[in-house]
Amino acid sequence: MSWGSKGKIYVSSENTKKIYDRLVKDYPQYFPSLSVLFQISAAVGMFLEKKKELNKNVELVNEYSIDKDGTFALILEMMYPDLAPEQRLEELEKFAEAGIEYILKEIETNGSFIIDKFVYKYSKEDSYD
Amino acid sequence: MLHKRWEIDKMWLSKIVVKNFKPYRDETSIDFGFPSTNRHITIIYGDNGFGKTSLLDAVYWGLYGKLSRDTYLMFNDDPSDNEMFVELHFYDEEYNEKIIVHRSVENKVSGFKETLEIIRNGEALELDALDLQSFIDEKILPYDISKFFFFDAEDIKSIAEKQGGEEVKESVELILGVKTIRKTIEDLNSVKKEFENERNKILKDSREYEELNDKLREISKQIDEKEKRLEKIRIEIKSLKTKRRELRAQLADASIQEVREFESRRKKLEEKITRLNSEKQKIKDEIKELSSNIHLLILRSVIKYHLEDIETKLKEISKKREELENIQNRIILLEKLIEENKCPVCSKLVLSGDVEIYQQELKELKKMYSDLPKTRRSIEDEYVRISVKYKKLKEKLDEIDKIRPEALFELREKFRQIENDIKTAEKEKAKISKRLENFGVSLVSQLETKISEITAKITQAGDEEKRLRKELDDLKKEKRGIDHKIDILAPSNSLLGGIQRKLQLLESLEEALNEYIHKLIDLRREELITEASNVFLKLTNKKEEYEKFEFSSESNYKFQIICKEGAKPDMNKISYGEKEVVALSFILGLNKYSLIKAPIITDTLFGRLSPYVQENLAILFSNAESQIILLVLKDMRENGKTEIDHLAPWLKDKIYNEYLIIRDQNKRVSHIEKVKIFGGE
Repeated sequence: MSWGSKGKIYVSSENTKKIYDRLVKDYPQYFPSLSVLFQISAAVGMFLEKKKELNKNVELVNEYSIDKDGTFALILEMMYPDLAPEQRLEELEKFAEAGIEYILKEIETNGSFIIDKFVYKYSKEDSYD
Repeated sequence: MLHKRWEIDKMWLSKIVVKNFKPYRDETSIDFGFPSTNRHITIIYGDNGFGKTSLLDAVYWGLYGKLSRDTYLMFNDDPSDNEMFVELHFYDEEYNEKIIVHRSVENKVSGFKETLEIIRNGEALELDALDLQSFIDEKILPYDISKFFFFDAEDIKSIAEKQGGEEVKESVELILGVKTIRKTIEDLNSVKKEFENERNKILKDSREYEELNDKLREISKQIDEKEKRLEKIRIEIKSLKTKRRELRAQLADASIQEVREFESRRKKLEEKITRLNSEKQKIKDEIKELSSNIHLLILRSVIKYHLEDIETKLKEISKKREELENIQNRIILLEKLIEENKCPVCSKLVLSGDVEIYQQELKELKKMYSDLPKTRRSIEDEYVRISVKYKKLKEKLDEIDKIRPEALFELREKFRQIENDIKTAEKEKAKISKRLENFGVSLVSQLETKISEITAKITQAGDEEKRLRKELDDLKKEKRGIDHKIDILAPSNSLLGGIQRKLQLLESLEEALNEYIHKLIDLRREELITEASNVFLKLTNKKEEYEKFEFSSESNYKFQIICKEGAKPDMNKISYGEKEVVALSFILGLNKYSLIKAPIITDTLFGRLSPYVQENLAILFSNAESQIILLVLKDMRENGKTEIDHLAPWLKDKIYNEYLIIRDQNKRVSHIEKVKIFGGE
């Protein structure tokens, strides 16, 4: 599924890019690549229904690597049936921006981000509560 | 023949007789007499080309059969008068001896025939030509130093230009007596040669004996050398083995064992860490692969939320669709009921008042759902569209539910475990490394390397020892064989030892004489310098400036002036006049210093020198102990001057007699007449 002609995935700042790099370096068992971390961040953002505007675009990864099975596209189409694909991708970036902020906060607060627990707990409960 | 050189003291030239010699065709004699020490100067005047230098040549040729420069002898054309001769009369004052040297050349058809005769106190010496010449050299004046006694301005110029050096060295050594000693050494060598000949004669008879002896000595020498070398190698091997034992003991030491153990453990840990890292990387790759859909697990609830939403929507649409269908059915029923006035379902007749009610209901329904089919189609489309999305989401959910994150979680656990294992191994390795650092870096390997090196050296030395032993055995065997042969030949060689001892004695003597020469030169060189310095300070016009005359170094005879403050001016840069003064100082110093009192003959010497030096030279000559013969330039015109007119005050009282060379321009011959110009006796 195409996201239009954008081709790249952006984050809001150099600092955010550095956060991505650091987490991939420090937690390879959870975030083995930037693409995986972006996917998780976007999923967390969607899960929390939180978005954060991007003030400045800093390139992170190629677009094709973040949604190979089209799940994000499908969900965003459901969520934003009236928006163009490029605009939906921007919405995805906003979710990811909020998601990475949450993950970082978790790490800073608890010393780690137990993604397994997060995924398991919420994925098994058919509820947001 | 050996002579004591100092027998020739105070040799005076009393007479010169020449015939057919250069311009002196007729027999011409100059009688110098036997001058006293008060009047010892003879002056011979002559103009250029009249025959002054020919007289100097006559003395040279008469004594040595050579000319003082590149000229040639000329014979006259008269075949009846073809003999040329020079006769020199000397008087040895000390020994009261009269010596006449007569050298002649006859121009014969067969060629020139030169004859030398020497008459000593009226008796001709019965010697061959070479010995006669040696007699002149030794008794009168050696040829090699004659240039310091018979000289002209050109000779001074030549010495001044060369500033001493090798040529001077030879002459000086001759005067010092070195030549005599060298002659003695030569004589010693002659004697030695005789002994050697004698020895060779014996050796010739027993050459084999000598050869065997040489061989024996050589073999003994080789045996000695090899035994020394062998001993050295044995000591070396012993020392190496001791060292190796010590090193091995160190290796066997408990602490070393511990080090080895630690090193082994460290090595194992390094291998383990490498293996774990490799495993870790592998797991990381697997995690990466499995992590590509881990976000879907989070998205599952998001999808589920949307599915629920869609389900609600679908329910609502279904309900609405049902409502519209019911309305559609009611409209159809009402239309049929009004048309037939009976119920289409139960066929019961409808009352006319009720028909109006049904008509009213139908009217209201039609009004409310004016485009009911279109509305129903639209609802239907919506339902289909949402159903498709629902289906897709449902399928995605089913896919997600098939994901088994446990495998990923297990990998992550494994990854964590490996990381822990690596950390533990690294920690242990660091601990061991620290322990090893305390033991010293690679102590064991260093010890092992040293032991290997020493072992290699021991092996090498052992090989050499073995080789030397074999060589020694062979040599000893050979020596025994030679010993046996010598024992058989020995009795015939008892004379050899005696000759050998004499030869050794002569060699020692030769060595001692050579040493004596060096010491003599060192000692007497200083005396010569003193004499030359005295003359130099008398001649030079810079008495206030200069300190002395010297040779520039001990090994050469280059002239050097020393200034008062000790400075040594560059001899190449001093004026030519000064160079001549230095050369003249050396000549006269050497002359005075030497024990030879042969006459000094100078040719046209004064004209080149500065007036100041001329005066000083005149004073020197007037005070000289030797006989002085001055060949002086004179203008032959009436009242013509001489080159020494201005020196009369210093010379005139010392002049014994004066001669003038007269030239017959027509016959081109010269003769000599006694004159009185300055006033001799």
